[in-house]
Amino acid sequence: MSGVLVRRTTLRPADALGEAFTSIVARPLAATATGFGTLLAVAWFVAVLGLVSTASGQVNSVFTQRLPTTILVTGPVPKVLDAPFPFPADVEQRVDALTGVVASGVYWQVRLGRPVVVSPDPLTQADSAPAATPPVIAGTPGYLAAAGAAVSQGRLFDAWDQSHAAQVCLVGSVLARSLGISSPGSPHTIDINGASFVIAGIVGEAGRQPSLLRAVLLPTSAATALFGPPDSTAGARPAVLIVTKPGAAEAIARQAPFAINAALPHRLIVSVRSLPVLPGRQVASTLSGLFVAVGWVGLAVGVIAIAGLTAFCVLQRTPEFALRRALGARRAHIASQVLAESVILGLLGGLAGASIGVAAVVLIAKAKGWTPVVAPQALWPVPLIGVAAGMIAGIAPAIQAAWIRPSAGLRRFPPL
Amino acid sequence: MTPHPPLIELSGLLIRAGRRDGADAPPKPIDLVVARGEMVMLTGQCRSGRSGLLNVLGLLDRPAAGSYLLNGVDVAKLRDRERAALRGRQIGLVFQRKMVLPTRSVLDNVMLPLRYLGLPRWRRIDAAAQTLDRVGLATMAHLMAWQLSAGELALCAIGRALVARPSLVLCDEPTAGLDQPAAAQVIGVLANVHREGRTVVVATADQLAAAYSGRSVRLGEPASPLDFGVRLPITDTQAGSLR
Repeated sequence: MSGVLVRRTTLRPADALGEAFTSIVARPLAATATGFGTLLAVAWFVAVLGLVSTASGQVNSVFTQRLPTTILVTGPVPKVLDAPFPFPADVEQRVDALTGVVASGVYWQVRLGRPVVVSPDPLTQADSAPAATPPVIAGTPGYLAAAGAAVSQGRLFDAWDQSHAAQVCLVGSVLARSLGISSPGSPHTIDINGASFVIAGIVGEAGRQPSLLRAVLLPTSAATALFGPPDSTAGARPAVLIVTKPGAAEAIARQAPFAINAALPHRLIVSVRSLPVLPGRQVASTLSGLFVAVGWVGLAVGVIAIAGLTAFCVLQRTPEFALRRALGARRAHIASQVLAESVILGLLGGLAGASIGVAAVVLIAKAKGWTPVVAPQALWPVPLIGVAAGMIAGIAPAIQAAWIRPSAGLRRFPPL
Repeated sequence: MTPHPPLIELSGLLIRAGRRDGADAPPKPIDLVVARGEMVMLTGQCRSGRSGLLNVLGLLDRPAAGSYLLNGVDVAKLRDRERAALRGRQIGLVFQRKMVLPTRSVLDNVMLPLRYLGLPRWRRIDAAAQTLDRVGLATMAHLMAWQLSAGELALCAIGRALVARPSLVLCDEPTAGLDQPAAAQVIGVLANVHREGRTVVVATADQLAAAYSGRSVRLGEPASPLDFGVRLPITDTQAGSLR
């Protein structure tokens, strides 16, 4: 023996891991309890994260339904009389061909250079019938769909009416009341500056163009035939109303001018309702922050519980660690063994916890009728969270085990 | 040529009284010299401090006072990792209660000290198998420790103490609780170790065990020179003395 020149004892990493595995297997109950703690903590964390993603998806979907879906395309302000119609004849087909378009239609306000007087047809009504000067809108059947028009009575005019320039009209429900029109059959017709139009229906709803409830609607073909093309200089420029799927408005707004007039897209004026996107994202973000904090708190509580359990196990294993110290183990060896056990249990608990957490998210989402959203890339680090939880939970017990006095610990060795 | 210092040299050593030792802990300072290759029996009454002295000799405890030179080195100046290194490589410890890990195999228990020597597994197995053969447990290598009898447990514990080929073997009551044949087997193994030139210190109350020793030191006696040399049945040699 050469005194202090004795080579220090050493524990190879593989041996430390082997010892840790063997110790875990030798104490299945304690290992299961510790691993189960990690499992619960990680499962809670994953479930909270998954539910946050799922709930955020729900919130976003609710807000997405309120995203702008309406686009208005108008031609340039004409500088001369009898300016050409700014849209091609097949404008609706061109726009409808764009992915994301729900409906589109052309419309304009009919201006005749003098007040438009609408009254129940003098041929069928008494002279005392009231008259009004409402806006008269010429629109295509596609426009009716785009405006969200729905009749409370009668029917909307359709492609047949449009192709045959039928003299039919729709009367807004508010205007109908003021004109004393109670139903399309009473009276049958109205008079617009001397031209009779059969009342096809009464518009009771027009979600995207509520002004239609105070207007008379004519097919564009009939309006053109009777009153001529739109008088752009009078401020009644024709426009294309486009309705898109939620979230597609911005893209359609960029594409529509090219679809309508590929040669001079910049001459068309496109307007989209301002985007109320931020509040939705803010709500989702606030919720996410709150619940992620809850997830972290749960994980922290779990780590503390695991640390307590591990410390208790270390206390029970005091004689074993004292024996190892007596046989040459350094404090670092004991600490590394406890840490390795804790990390292995953390890893196993993390893997199982991630699976259970995802299953919980799917089950809860299914029960709520939501779409479960768990990003796969967010799941990869979860076992590492288990490892980290195990490591953090193992630090204090490892120190506790490392500082066991061999002689004191050996006295507590249970008799075989 | 410089002569080797004694392996163990205690001077005015006072053992720290544990709670269990209480007032019975030896109050008197111990002076003891053990040369290399000696086999020394520490005897004395119950609670005379034999186990406490072995803990100090095995570097498991620090003395309350006095000096302990191990191979000429004052162990009080050693850091924890150096003490661990000495325990792992140079000191073999056999504890009174035959402390083994019950859920490990006999082979695993014997290999345990080798884990901390950085040896590859095949060398650990080889060394442990040889040691088990030496103590007569070769056929029980793969039994679980809890399956062993008391005598086999004692041999397993001795095997574990010998596997790293230490130069100092410390045994605390190795024959306690054993029947005579088992005790004789244990003493025989220790005697063989001594014959190989290793230093063996045995704390025992077993007079039969003490009879096998070349030297016996009785603890807990009055600090009178007249009381030093009385040993049963083998008296203390000139190599060591107890004040």
